[in-house]
Amino acid sequence: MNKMCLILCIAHALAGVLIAQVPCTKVASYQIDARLDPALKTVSGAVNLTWMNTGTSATKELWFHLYLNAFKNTNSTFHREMARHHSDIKQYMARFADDGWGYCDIISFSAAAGSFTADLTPQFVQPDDDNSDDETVFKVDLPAAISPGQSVTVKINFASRLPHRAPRTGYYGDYFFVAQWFPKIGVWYENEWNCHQYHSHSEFFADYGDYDVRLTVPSRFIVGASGVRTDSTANSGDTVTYRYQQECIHDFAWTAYPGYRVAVRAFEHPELPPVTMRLLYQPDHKRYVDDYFSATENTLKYLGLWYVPYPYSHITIVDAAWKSSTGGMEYPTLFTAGVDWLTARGSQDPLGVTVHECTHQFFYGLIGSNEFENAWLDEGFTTYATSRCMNTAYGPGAFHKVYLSRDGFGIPVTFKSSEKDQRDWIVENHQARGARDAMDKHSWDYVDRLAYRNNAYEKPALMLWTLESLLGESVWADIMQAYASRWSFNHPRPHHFIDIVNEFAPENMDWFFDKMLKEPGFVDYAVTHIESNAAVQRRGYFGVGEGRELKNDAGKDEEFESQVHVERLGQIQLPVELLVTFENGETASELWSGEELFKIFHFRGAKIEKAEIDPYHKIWLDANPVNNGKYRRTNGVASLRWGAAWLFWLQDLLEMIALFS
Amino acid sequence: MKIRNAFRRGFSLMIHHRMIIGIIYLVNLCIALLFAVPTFILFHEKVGALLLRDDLLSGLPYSWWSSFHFNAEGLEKTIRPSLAGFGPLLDNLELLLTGQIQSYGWFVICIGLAYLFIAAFFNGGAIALYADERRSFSTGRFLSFAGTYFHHMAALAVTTLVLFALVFKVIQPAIFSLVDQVVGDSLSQSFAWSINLIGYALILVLIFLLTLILDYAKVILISEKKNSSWICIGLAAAFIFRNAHKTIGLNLLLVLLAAALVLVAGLLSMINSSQLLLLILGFIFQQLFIAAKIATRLTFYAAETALYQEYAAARETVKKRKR
Ligand SMILES: [Zn+2]
Repeated sequence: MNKMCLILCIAHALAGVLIAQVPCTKVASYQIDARLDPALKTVSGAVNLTWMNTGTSATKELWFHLYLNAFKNTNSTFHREMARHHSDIKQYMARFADDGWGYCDIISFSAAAGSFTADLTPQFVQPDDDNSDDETVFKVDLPAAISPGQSVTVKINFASRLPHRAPRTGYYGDYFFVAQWFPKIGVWYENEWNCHQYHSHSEFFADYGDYDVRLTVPSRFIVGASGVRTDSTANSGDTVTYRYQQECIHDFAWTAYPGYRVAVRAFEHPELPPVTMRLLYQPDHKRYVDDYFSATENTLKYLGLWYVPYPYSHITIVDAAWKSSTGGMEYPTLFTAGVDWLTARGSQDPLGVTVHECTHQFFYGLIGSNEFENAWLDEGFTTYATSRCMNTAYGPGAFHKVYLSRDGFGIPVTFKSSEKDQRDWIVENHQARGARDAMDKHSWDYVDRLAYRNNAYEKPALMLWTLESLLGESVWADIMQAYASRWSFNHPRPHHFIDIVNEFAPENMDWFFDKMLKEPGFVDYAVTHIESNAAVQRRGYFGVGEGRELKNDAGKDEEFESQVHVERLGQIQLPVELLVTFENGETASELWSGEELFKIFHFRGAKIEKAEIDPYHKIWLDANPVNNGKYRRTNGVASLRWGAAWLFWLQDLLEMIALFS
Repeated sequence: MKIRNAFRRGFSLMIHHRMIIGIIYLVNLCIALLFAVPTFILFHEKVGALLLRDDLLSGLPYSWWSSFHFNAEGLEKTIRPSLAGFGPLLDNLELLLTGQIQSYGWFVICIGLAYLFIAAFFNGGAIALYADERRSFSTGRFLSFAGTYFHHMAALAVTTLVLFALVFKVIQPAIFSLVDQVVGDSLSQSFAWSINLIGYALILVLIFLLTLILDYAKVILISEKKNSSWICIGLAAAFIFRNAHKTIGLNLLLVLLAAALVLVAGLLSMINSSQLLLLILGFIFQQLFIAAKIATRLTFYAAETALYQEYAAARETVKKRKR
């Protein structure tokens, strides 16, 4: 880091101390005092929560998430679902051997509102299933109801034990990533408690508020956390207490690891507020520092310009430890990503995952949709915006293959001859993950993991790309800006987005969303056959009365009757365009409702050279775009090229096998 | 005999009987073509009329390949982006270290097995000619020698298969379980990477030593006109043990030659163009590479035969003197 950057970063950090004024309705604000014991793998502490009823009816209960209990034993709903969906559950469970289970105990719970102060007893509840072993949600009954506009103060003492290498949270050696670690209140939403159990296929949902968190850790640990570090105090016993504060966020995660290296840079853009970027990276990942910053900068820049500026003064990027299971994950003002020690040139690692998780700062962090019930509103929008940002900032990546791939090992090699656009990757996954289930479902209700992934990530992302193409860039920009600005620091439902689309689109798009959200299946159109046959030349009398004419076209340019067969191979119907190019260079286009399974288009004139359905590539949802276009005549040069490559491979393979003869 | 001399003599033997290279190359090409033609036809049916075929000249467009691969069956599954350029060599080298030939399907295993025995057949002919003092080549003698020794060579090929199955099914997992234990809870991927690399290096050494022993077993079987391939493996191991620096040194030199050949091929494969002329040139280079690879394998046998015969001659001299 040069001097200029250092000065800039200090200036940004100071700005961060003041914490940018972020406007939001503060529903749930926390003061937390927590202490990490790295030897016992515990985090214990006290939560002081102020919760305000911003609904329109009173509640006599408070519901809380207690998500570390998902890793308490094999019987939690998280693990039961894991056992159902994981390809190798034994291998997964092996990580908890030797007492690697985690949990969170409530030591004491008291609440105070206008008329009462009371010690209360939490009671585990299972709103989503009848699994009485699941302890990831609890509720307390209040002595009196909290009316709309009224606040309640809750004091909780808790003791958490972190799990070993659990998904997203836990420890690995001296590395700690602490997420879903404190009792977090549910959302009083649409006049009921929206507080789901921790499922293996779902993420999170919480209310906005201010966080003021003090974390005490041994001095040797490097700490990163949501929010801005505003204070640090050295304690006796070789520990230090860091204070982190942030307005208007809906969760808080942190990490502690003595091995982290730290880099700080400033994001600046003339049209956007400055942001201090703090990267915590693994010692052997120095070569990726520029990539992490570049990807974060591009996300803040493009999403800031396209949708809404990132409102916080600070962002923390965590390069998660290899093998830790932290994965790529988003938390308010902090996200995790990861990369292999060796990556292929042009592979876009770790750019892709960094842009994805940073994009969640907008679709999750700012626009706080319900990830349990409408997963596509965050993952789908994020997948879409990630590919848009990646394509704009970096273009396509190269295909790469990792040779001798083993856990922690592999020799990556780039194949420049096969480029990989971010959207290609989405289409590939969409096709591979199947057409089961409709998008509009609770995350844990999808038939399997693939259906969840497809309906939460790929299909909605392709739906948004399709909408953008159908509506045009400028209408689309208005829609996305309106959605982002109106629903920042709020909890939109799908219909809120659809309402905005209908507000700006030239026609009502309900028909489109009905198909997309409610119907399972693919979109797939194909040109399956083209033929051109010499037409019978016109001879004889044509017309009646005085208009009757004797015609003889013999000797004129030969005409052809042509047919183009198109087929709907997918279940979902969308109107599509067909473009036909004739051998004389002329073109003709036809619109097709796309409803029939099969349709033949007839043309008369020159011979057809080629035909393409969806020629301007608007229907990104088409799961198999390869069958969209066809020439009438075949040509074998490309096949020969790859046939020869295949021949060489087999010849070389045979000679290698001969080594064993 | 010095290593250098054995190498030279081996090289000149290989050149002298260069017709063998031609015969093996032709057989290799014909067998590969037998399967490449249907693959081409399958491929052509899929892409011959596609609009995307123009892009296929310069590379495999990922968007095309992913959906093609998704729907592909049997042979089609083996069409992949790594067929471009240096890829086939890397794919095959990987196979050498992992033994995961089943990843290409049963079909490839069957062709591989067939070729293994064809190669064993030719090995007998080649080594017998290299060991023969007459130093004259005729296709008839080559084939007759090949026929004479086929049952022994086939037995050795089966033994080799069993030994390598043992390497990949028993020794390799053991090595990597040790690797995992050494890596343990380390959070450093670079450390894990290095330890894994050592694991692969060990497997490479094992393959080298096994190939060395089995090569000399063939040479001894033919040179000494032995009847048991099992005894020859023992004799070969003893010979290598007694002349470790010469035998290992010679084969290291030959491995170096093979590596240089692969490197040159790698550099040439970087010519990736959609121009027809360059595509044809690239294909010619590939065929020359296959021929050179066959020549290198034969040089191994020839040089090993030369080294062993020198040793046998010296032993005979000592015996005569003793008498
Ligand atoms: Zn995501």
